[in-house]
Amino acid sequence: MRNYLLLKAAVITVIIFSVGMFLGMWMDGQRYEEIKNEITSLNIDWNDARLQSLYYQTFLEDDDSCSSALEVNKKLTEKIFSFGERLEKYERINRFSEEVLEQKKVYTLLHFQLWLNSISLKKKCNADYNTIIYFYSHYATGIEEEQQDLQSSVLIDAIHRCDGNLIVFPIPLDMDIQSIDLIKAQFGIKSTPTILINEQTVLEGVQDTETIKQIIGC
Amino acid sequence: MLGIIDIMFLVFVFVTMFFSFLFLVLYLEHRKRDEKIKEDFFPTVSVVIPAFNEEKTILSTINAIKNLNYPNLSEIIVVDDGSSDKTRELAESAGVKVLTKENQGQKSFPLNFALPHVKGKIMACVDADSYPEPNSLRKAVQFFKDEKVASVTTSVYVRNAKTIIERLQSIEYVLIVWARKLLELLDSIYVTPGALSLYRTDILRKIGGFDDNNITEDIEIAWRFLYNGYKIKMSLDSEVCTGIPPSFKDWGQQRVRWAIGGIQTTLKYIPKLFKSKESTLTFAASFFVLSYSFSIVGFFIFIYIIYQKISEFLYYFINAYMMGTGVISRNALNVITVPNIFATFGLVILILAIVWVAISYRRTGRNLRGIGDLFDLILYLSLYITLFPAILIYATTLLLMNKIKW
Repeated sequence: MRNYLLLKAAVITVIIFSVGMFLGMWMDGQRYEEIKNEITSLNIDWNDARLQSLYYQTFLEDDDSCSSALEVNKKLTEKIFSFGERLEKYERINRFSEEVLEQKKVYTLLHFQLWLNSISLKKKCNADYNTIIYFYSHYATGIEEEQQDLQSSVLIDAIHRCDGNLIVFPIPLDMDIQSIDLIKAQFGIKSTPTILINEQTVLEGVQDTETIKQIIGC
Repeated sequence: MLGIIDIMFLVFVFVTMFFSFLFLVLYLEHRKRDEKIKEDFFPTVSVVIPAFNEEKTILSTINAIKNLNYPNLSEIIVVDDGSSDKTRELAESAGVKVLTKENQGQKSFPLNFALPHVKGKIMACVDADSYPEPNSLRKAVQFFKDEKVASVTTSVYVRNAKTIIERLQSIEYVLIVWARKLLELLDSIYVTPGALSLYRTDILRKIGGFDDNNITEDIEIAWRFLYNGYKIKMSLDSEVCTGIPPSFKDWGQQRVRWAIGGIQTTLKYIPKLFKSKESTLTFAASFFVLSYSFSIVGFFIFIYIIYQKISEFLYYFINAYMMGTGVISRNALNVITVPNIFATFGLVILILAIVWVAISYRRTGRNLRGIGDLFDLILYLSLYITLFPAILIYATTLLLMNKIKW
């Protein structure tokens, strides 16, 4: 009788626990699919923006084409930035899938390309916006993670306060991407969090809004 | 990916779920059984009350026993365990038999002192601050119809719970009563509480009485009965109200004593279980050891996570405030707003705990009344039960340092 009752409880536990685990894996899978689809869509948007920019440069070199290219670049940057927040949320929550890492790399490369495009457009169109690359660690935990979280909040604040005059590109330093290593070497980036303002000023450690505002002047 | 803490958490969840479902299975099994026992068996009963400085309550306890609705009560024996107050005089004035001895510490000494004097076939032990309901004895003795039953435990409830610590203990006692009833189905009642427990006198004598070397004689004797193949039953309808530690300090001391006694008993019997063949004690001992081990492991995980979260929270909160940015960490918000497997399992365990409390209250005929009781329950489920592992660790330390006192 006792063994029967114990077995019954064990079977129920295994079933409920397994259902829970499968549910967890399914939820992670759903989130992964969502990220994958969104990255594909962002890649299409990026290619579209890049082609528009190329088209303007090739056929329509005037002020209107410049402002259109800047506008497309700005919208895409905002879209990617906003997706980044969701991606960050999902990667913290997901436990059973490692593939998010691959999607994160694609997302990082998108940011990198957008940053280069933003620099190129700024020079070509004499635009007055500021760019910040925010270098962080993908694998940060504990206090280091909170430091990065704090820096993110400060940068989001700065974006709002600068009223469209500031574009931020979060770039993880430790995801084994060779093009990121190029920036690291060029600007001497050694630790996280670090910010690179307008391709000139490197600030290590958590920076407050006032410091950033003073440098970029908005 | 899953980290070490994640894996430990999942193991913890699995074991907690197993015991929760085990108790639900036992509950469903219990419902199938008809436990209306015919009250037609009235063996002679001797009531033994060990008392040490109990002048405030001894008369009320004796009166409650005198009011028992039982036709075959042989005697009431008060063992004055070296009291320095008027316990002895008051007991004598109540017209009961009084045995006097020097105080030697734990309760096993007065109980063993009384054992040779007991005339009844059943020895009912009652704490000097406990008050059995009039029908408690007649309901409890019916279980002795089965010759293999060595002991019958009863439903112990808290008397006059006023302070917060008393109210929390009151909840705990209800849950313990119901858990003990269900453990009976597995022949795994591992304690015969002192407030009111009945023993078959000849079996008690045969196995040598209570263990004077154990700080919790009520746990040790239960394990010894099980180890020797006897049964322990739980009479849900036999109710007794008891006094409990009124302050947090007293409560802590009592719990440390219980924990030390539990560990002492475990250390005594686990080696024997490895050597012996299948014993009815095996499950009870495993249950006991597993719950002790897991509560300590769970406690360390809990402390680690809480420490980590608090330090992260403080770091973020203070710096964010000084920098004039959002003071709520997006990291924290992420965890709250997006459900994952850990949050889901946590919720399942919370629901199981609430279901368990609801069933316990319903089956023991108790009610939760109003917001105050609900608040107590939340406090019980959140804070009170997390204190046990800390007590267990402290008790283990005392035991290792050989600083044991009753």
